[in-house]
This record gives sequence, structure tokens and C-alpha cells, in this order.
Amino acid sequence: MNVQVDEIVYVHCHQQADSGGTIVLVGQDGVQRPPIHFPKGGHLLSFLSCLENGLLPHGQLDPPLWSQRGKGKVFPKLRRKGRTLPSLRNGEEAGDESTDYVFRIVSKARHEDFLAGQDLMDPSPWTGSIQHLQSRVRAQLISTSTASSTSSSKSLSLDPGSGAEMPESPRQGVISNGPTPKLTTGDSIQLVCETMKRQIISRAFYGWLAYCRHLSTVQTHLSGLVNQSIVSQDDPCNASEGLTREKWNHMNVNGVITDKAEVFRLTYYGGVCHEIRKEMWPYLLGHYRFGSSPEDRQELDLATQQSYETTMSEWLAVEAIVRQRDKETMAANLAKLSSESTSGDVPPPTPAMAQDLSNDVFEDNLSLLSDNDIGDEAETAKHNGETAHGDEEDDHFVRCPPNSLENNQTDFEEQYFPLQYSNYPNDSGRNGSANGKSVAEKQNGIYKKLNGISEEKVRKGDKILNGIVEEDETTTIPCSLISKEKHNVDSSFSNSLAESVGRLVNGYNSQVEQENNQAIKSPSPDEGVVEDEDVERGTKNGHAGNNQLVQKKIHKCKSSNQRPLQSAAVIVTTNPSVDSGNQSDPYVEEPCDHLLTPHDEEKEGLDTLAVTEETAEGNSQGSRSTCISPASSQGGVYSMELLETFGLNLHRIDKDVQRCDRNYWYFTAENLDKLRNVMCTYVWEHLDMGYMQGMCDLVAPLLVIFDDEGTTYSCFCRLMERMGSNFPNGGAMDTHFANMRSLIQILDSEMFELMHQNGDYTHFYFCYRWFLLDFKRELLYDDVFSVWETIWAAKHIASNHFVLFIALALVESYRDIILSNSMDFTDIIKFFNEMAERHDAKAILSLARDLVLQLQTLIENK
Amino acid sequence: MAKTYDYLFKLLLIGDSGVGKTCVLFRFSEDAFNTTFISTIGIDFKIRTIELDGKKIKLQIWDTAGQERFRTITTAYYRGAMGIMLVYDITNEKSFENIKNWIRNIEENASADVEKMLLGNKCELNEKRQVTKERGEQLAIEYGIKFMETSAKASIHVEEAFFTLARDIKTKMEKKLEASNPPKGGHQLKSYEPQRKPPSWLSRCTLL
Repeated sequence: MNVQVDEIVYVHCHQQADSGGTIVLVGQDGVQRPPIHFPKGGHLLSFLSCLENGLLPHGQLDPPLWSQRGKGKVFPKLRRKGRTLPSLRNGEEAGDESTDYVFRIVSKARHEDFLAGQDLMDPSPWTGSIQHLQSRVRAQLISTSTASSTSSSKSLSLDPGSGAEMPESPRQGVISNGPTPKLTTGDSIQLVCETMKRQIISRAFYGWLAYCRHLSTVQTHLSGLVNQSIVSQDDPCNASEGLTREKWNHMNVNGVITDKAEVFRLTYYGGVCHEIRKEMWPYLLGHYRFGSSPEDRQELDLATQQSYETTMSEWLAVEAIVRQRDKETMAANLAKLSSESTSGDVPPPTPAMAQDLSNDVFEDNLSLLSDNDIGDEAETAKHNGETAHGDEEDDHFVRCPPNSLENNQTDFEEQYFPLQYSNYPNDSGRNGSANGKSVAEKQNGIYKKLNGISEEKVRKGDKILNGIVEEDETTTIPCSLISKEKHNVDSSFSNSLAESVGRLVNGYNSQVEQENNQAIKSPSPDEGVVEDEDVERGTKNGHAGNNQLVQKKIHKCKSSNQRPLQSAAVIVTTNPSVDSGNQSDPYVEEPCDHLLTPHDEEKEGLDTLAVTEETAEGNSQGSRSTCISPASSQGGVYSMELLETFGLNLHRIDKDVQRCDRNYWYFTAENLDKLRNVMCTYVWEHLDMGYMQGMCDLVAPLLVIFDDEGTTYSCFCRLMERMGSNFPNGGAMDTHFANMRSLIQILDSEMFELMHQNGDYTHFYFCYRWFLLDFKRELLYDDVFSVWETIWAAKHIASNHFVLFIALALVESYRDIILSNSMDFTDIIKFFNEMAERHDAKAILSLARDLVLQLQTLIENK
Repeated sequence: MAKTYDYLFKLLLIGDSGVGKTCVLFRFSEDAFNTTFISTIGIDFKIRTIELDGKKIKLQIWDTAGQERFRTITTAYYRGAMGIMLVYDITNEKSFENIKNWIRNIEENASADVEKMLLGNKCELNEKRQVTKERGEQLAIEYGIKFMETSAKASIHVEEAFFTLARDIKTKMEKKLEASNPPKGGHQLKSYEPQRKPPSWLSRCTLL
């Protein structure tokens, strides 16, 4: 839209109390130009002021704007009362005359001057529209070539909330050195002066444009960062106390919490009293719905727990296989190492090395073993002399719960179970041994030594096993029984789960041996057909409780002797006995307890394989008769790829769990295991995402509060819906950095200057950890709780991006230090890393809330 | 401003997660060991000033997150690095195998003449060793870099490793300096107005 100023005679200003003002330019011919809308906040005045400056010296507004000290130009409101506007037309459709003004643009110069002025004022108009200012305005002003800017952009609303349109102002002014007519000397001097004046004026005008640009940046860029409506801290009551037990009880009508807005408000302004966090957080995180009845919640908890267990049983099965593979690889490495051992300073590895992750544990176990006199000392000694194969054996010995010869036997039964259980495809043995022949041969040798023992054990196991197998095949537990005997079922769940896992491991394990143990073994079908033993499937009624035989088919796919481990696939099929979805009759189980029990014996508790196996071995003895196996509801093929991926993730998780917040009282070995379980379950469900460093840090505080794996898992999933994208490849981190940059630019220009001048700041890496972990590493545990709940509540009260404001508050809290030391990027990283856990969380949170309010106010332009 | 050091060297520690990068660094900067270390998130650095041949050298050592997924962040720091410590864990075969990948990463992201050094950490755990010293040495020779087995826990060779790396950087730097600022009547390789160029170390080392 182009407007030629010289054609304009009148400027009509209409001010509406609620939505800024409008300017209508009226030409000599009386034609009204399209109105220009201004939002509230003095923009209209600024515009007129600039226009007035622009008109000088040849034209002026009549009446002129008044100058008021300190405030610059002022207009309508301050002067309207006493003056009669000299306008001929008073465009006051709105009866409120006091807010409408008409200015006339008059030329105060003589005609010639005016002409000269006209010459100076190149008729080709320059145009600028605010929307285009960001990048183009300068070019436009200078080139004066853009004849028309898109008028369509007029409709663009920059502040959707207020409904006011941003200045859409095609502004006219003419700045260019047009062809000058013959000039007298006086004229030239005047011309020079004019030019200077114009430059000054245009600079002032740029200033105004920059101001508009600035505001539009705030509005477009940042308005999305805060909620439009401001929720007061003091309405209906002062919320700085937070959500106390008393208030919570008060709101808790028959166990139903309905006033969600108030809950959020209290939490946002004052936090949650620690003792009610456990019941309160699930609401905040969206696990519980507001308005839900206690029964609803109980049901939800059960369902959560159950699906958590189902998932857990799935990955436990895979973990067992992974562990086994690890052991083999490890054994192979050791074998390689010892055979290689050329250097004097590398002593031959001891069997202890077989344990990848729980090295310390191993020693404990050894002593435990001898203390308990399991009666296998001779064997143990023998094993200790061995390398690869011995290690595996050792592990089994060692993990047997002490004081239990029976268990020990069971161990072996389990181990050899598959031998009797069916004709195991022997060819798989080689698949299992990662390093092919040399290892196999080695094992062969070792095996000979073990032969006698093994045979004996196998025989022993035989009898018992036969019994077991029978039971396994015949036991069916009807629904009713289950519901009657919940407790029984509890243990049966975990027992059978553990059992199946254990078998899986042992089966896998024994296959390796089988190859070398032709004497004992059944003939080996070299064709490697997938063999299905016990094909009978439990009746699958879709009924949960209805039960199922424990059936596990561990097959080795044919994969053939020649091919190495990579080609092997393990098929594990178990009758689906727990279907998370349609279970009408949920178990009340706490398999975790069961799973963890044997674990106490392990000081470090880091090797979960040990846990699994132990449990398997320990428990399977007790309750075979109640063997239901929900262990893996999906039978199927675990591809090598899956095994490898999950294995990799397990290793990462183990590494991080072991070093997660060990200084905090909560994280004992037992609780670290819970953490690990939650973590593994999450990763199993999100294998495509995989484990990423930092996830443990996010689970930890939740676990501390809930102290329950199922709830923690579910809430962690909720948490990750928001946090997930912060992790690498999620893309959110860059957005955070960009927003931080904008916020600092808007709210602390001095800081912004410093950052700019030190260049690298744009990366904002010093806040990387802040955003990745929601400040978990920056604060002490108690503060983490309150910061987290504030972040969660803020979403509903003030801002969905409250983390940004906390980050900003952190920066602002130390702004004086940062500025006075003129810290650069490196300094600031170091500064904040050193300040970790020393911040005053209360002050930071309060400042963050203030900053939100500040931005909200700025956007509202109040 | 009082100059507290003559040179500033920026070093970088990389390697798989859990190999002990942070511990090595902590040993070097604080001469202490802590078993309750947490995984490194993002990036951090420590500073220690050492003295070599009468020169005070400030070492700014950057510690990175080990997980590959975070490489996008850590690679941002490769560029400014003058020396890189590649760390693996002698009880973890995989971490040793991954050294190759880390080297490739360096080649892709760091400046070509960056000094490198290979560290086999946790050498106090000899009974759990999976990677022989020979293999470490072999790999180092393959890449033409120096190698040491260290133990942050037992404080073995950590000092030596950093001093060695620092010395190598210093030597390389001084050689360059000499090449561009030859002694009088020098037999420099570059005969083309070498003195016109400002001392290159000015740009290489930040001087306060």
C-alpha cells in the first residue's frame, strides 16, 4: 500500500479504549485511505510524532503535537480538552469526541520552497510495513524501489490475544536525492541542511521501526511461551503456602479431587508438601485423572502394575539370553587372552573374570560359597582351574543361594533340564559359541574333565526333572483358583517367570556343552531342524486366569554348524498367559519382591543376571505345582538384531545405574535395582529410542517419591512425553536455546550484548544439562522435587515452557557476576558447573515466576 | 593484566561411556578419586596449570559425555582442541574396539594436526583385563600416537600422560613458531618473507 504524503491533507485519529487506535488518511480529493490500525500502547502517538518530524520543515501537523518534558511528544489525551480542533471535518462516528482527532497537514513554506521541497521529496514513495521490517526495511528505504508492499500482510495479526492488529503502516516519506532544479547558492546550503535534517529524522524513524520490530519479535516469538491469561497468586487465596496436607485433605472429597485449577495454582506458587507428593504427583504428571474415584485409581494402579510386570517379564527373558551371550563372548575373550598371553605382566585370567559387571560381587560370592559348604568344593576347585568353561560353571555355583544344597541341585537340574526335556538340536551348540572352533575345542578339553561330574549331576537331575516336566505339562490352574489364592499366584507368577527365564538361560547354556558332550547327549540332528517339543499349547481362552501350561520351547533355529553366532536365532515360545489388555482378573503380585529377594545375598546387586538366575533357581523349586507362566506373553523369535540392540542398551543402563546418585540415601543396592528395572522396561518399550544418558537421572527422583516401580514407570513415561525430545535427535534442545536467546534479548539487553560480543554464546551449551534433566543435576534432591512439580503445574497456570524461565532466572541471579567479570562462554560453563547444587532454589523459582509475569505483561502491553 | 601462564592448551577427553574419563580428569586436576562419580551430561572442563621447561602451561581439559548419541554436542568442542586423549577401559573389549570410531570422529571434526594420545584406563584391575597392553601399544603404533596404561584409581601414569601430551603440543608448537620466526641467518624452509607473518602461536594460544 502506498500513500503519497503530499496528497494527504487530513489525518484522522480514532482511539478506542479497548484496542488501540486507528488512523485514517484523507487526501485532497476527500478520499479516505484504508485505515491503519495500531495496537494499544502509544504506537499511534509514536507514529504521529514520526510523521510530524518527517513533514518538517515544509509541512507540519496542525495542530502540532505537544512536547512534554521527559515524555517526548504527547498528544490527544493531554491536550484535547481545552482546544478546539481546527479541523474542518471531525470524523467522529464514535460519539466519544475526546478520543478522536483530526490533524491537517499544512505547508508552512512559501510556494517555491514547497516546490523545492517537493523536488527533494522524490515522488516515488518508500514503503515499509512492519512485517517486512525485520529483514527488508533497510533495503527498501534505501532503494526506494519497492513500489508496493503486499497489502495482504495487513491482515496478519501479531497479537492474537488482544485482537489488535499490528501497525500495518505503509508509511510514506520520501527520502532520495531526486533531480534538483537549478539551485541558487542559498538553496544549496539549504539543501545540505535539509539533507542532514532528513538523515537525522530518518535515523529517528529507524529507531521507531526498531522499537516496533522489537515488540513484534516479543509478540510473535515469545507469546507462545507463556499462557495468555495471568493466574493470580492471591486469588482466591494466597497460594504461597503451597499445597499443604490440610488443603489437600480439604479438597479431597471422598477421595475425589476435582478442583484441578486450584491444585495447579497452589503447586505453582507454593509447591507441594513433601508428605503428600506420593499421592499428588501422579495427578500432576497425568497418571491419575482429576475427578477419578479411589476405585478408578486402584484399578488403574493394578492395570499399570500388571502391564509393567508383563513388559518386565518380556525383557527379562531377553536379558537372560543376552547375558548368556555376554558370558560366552567374555569366555572367548579370556580364552583368547590367555592363549595369547605373551607378555609377562599379564597373568592368566582367573575365573573371576567371567563376570562382566559385578566384579566385586564375585568375590563375595566365592567366600559365600566356601562358607556355606555346598559340598561341591572339589568341583569348585576344579572349576577354578579352568578357564572359559569353568567360568560358566562357576557362575552357577556361586549364584546358588547359600545353605541350600537343594537349590544347588536345582541349579544343575535347571542347567541340564533341556537335555532331558527333549532332544535338543545339538547343532546349535556351535552357534552359541561366539568364537567358533578354538573356543569349542578348548571347551571340549575342559569338558572332558568335567564329564564325570556332569554325568552324575545329570543323572541326579533326571529323576527330579521328570517329575517336574510332568507337572509342567499337566498343571492347569483355573481362574477361580487364582482368585482364591492370590498369594499363591503371586509367588507363582514370579516363580514361573523366573523359572522360565532360568531355563532359557540354562537351556542356552547347556547347548554349548551338548556339543562337546556326545557321550551324554542324545544324537545330534545335524540338519538343524527347528524342533518343537511339547507342542501342546495351553488353551488360550483369552481369559486371563485360565491357564496354561508352562511351555517353553527353546529352539535353535537351524542356522547350521558352519555359521557363526550371528546367524543363530533363539526362539522362545511360551504360552501367552498374561495378556495385559484383556485381563479381567488382575493379579495382585509383587514379583519385584520375589525377584529381588535372593538378591540380598549379593552385596553390590549390580549383576542382575545373577538375580534372575538365582531367582529362577531358587524359586523354581518351591512352587512348581503352581507353574503358570506369564513369562513371555509373546512367544516368538528374538532376532539377533534385537538381542544385540537390547544387549547394548542393557550395558549402558547398567553402567549408569551403578553410578546414579550413589550419595543419596535412597539409592541402596536394592533400590538401584528398582531403578534399573524401570529403566530397562522403558527402554524395552522404546527400543527405537534406546537408552540415553540422563534418563536414569530423570527416573531417580520419581522413584524416590513413589518407591514403586509400576507407578514410577508410568509417570516416567508421562514425563518423557515432554522430555524425550530434549535428548539428542529430538530437536527440542535447539529450540530451547533459540528461545533463551530471544528471552534474554527481550528481558535483559545488557546480558544479551555481552553474550553477543563473546560470540560463541549462541550455542548456550551451558544450559544443556539444565534442559536435558530439568535441572536435576543443578539442585539438591529436595529442591529438585519442588522445581519439578512447579514445572509440571506451570503448564496449566503460566507457561508450558517454564523451564526456560527457570534457566533465565538462573542466569539472571548471577547476572552481576557474569557481567562484571565479562564472562565468556567457557567461563560461564565452568561457573555453572561449579555452582551445581548450590543454588537457592526458592529464590530461583520465585524469580522465574516473576519473569513469566513480566513477559505476560509485556505481551499484554498493560 | 598479570599473566599467570605462558600458554593455554585446550585438551579433550573422549572415549566410551564408563571408561573413566571423568575420573582420569579428576585425578589429574584434584589428585583425588571418587567412586561415586556420576555420568557426565553435556560438557565440563577442569583446569590445571603445569610447568614445562620453565614455561607455565595452563591446561584446559574438556570432559565429554561418552555415549555416541551425544557426539553432536561433543564434536563442537573438537575444533578448538589442541590435544585429544582417547581413553578406553582395559577391562572392556568393546571400549577398545570403539577407539577406531573415536579416531574417525577426530579426523572428521578436529583440526588435522591435533595431538592425540591413547590411554588404557583402569589398569589396576589387571585380573579383569580383557585388552592386553600389547594390543594397546599396537593400536597406538598403527595410528602413530603415544600410548599409556593408566589408573585413575591407583594414580598410575595419569600425570605422565597429561605431561606427555602437553609436551608434545608444546614441541609441535615451538617447531611451528620457529618455522615462521626463524633465528637470524636461519636455514628455514620457508624463505618467503617469514617475518611478515605475526607469530603464529599468538593465534594458537590465548594469552591474557
